[in-house]
Amino acid sequence: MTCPTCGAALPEPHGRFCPSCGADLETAALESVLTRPQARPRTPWEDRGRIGFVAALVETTQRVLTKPSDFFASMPVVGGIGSPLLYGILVGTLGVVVAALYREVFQALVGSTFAGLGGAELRRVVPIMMGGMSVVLQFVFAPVFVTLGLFIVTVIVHVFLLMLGGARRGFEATFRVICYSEAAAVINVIPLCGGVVSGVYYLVLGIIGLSAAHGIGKGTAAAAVLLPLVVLCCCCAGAGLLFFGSLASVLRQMK
Amino acid sequence: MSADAAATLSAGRPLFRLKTVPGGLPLGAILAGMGALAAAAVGILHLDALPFTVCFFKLATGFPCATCGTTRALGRLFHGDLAGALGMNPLAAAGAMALLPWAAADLLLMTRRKALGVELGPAAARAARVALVAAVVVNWAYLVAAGR
Repeated sequence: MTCPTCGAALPEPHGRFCPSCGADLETAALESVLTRPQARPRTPWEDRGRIGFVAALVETTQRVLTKPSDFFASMPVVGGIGSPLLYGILVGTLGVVVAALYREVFQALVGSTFAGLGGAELRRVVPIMMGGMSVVLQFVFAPVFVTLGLFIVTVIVHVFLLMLGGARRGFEATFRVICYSEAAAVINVIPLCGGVVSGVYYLVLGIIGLSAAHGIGKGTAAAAVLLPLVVLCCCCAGAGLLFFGSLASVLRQMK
Repeated sequence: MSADAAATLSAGRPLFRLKTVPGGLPLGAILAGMGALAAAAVGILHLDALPFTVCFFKLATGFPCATCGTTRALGRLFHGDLAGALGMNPLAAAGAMALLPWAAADLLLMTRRKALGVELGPAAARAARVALVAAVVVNWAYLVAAGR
């Protein structure tokens, strides 16, 4: 028999208190039963060996987009980060590639998305940042950027959850929510408004997912997702620049 | 007997405990790897010397955000300038440095298919939460004062 608190092997017969950590074994055993997470079924994506790769990808994306509450409530919060990470990379890369293609078309029609922002230095590097080579680089390095982004966003959101007292499950629970929320990237296939809708729905999915995965209120989850957008901006600077730059560019064309 | 390290009060439950988690996620190693990659990218591509800001918060308000200076801190860490990194963003630099022992422990434990885990007691968790909030606020105040 082992101690439910520290996992140390207990001598037989053992007393009321663990000789290793001093925990009250009767109380610890009761708490262990009460707080043990209930078994959750695997997501379709994590069951892709049985139902097939494409079917699992489509079904998971459909469920996240159409029934996010049900999906995240039934999503296991442990079991490894490999599968959710692969899902996030695949769908996130698709979103990046589609967004880059649309941006090129949009730029060709209304001008540079960065043209309305920044000083002379920024305007000098716009052709480099938004040129054809940049698009090729985005395609090639998209999986790397998406992977880095998933970890960075998870770290930031989890730190805010910790600060707000909402990180009831571990880092993996947050990571899984962030990865599966990448399903919103599929909305990027809608021309023009797809990027904005995708960005907003990504935040909504994050709030619903964190609330379900950590068993916390939607207010706390919303604060953990939205506060970083206000307080920090390293992760959203690019998206913000793009969005407001596009807006500025369109407004200038309309004058 | 468990190989875990625990810090306890004179009686009762531990304040916090470092434990080895069989099959656990080597989070320290993963985050340190990401940080090392980011620092290398910043250092090699000189991303810390861009002649403009990429911070939308700073563009919009004129004030640095709570993570402004992180890229420059990573660039200085890449060149071994710890003091410079701490000057750019103390919290980001300290966080990056704190990852090193965590990553080293994870790498050592990885050979035994284990990872380092930290368990905080309720009092320690509360104290850590308050300390974290205070650290972010003080760090941000420093960034504003230093004009990052």
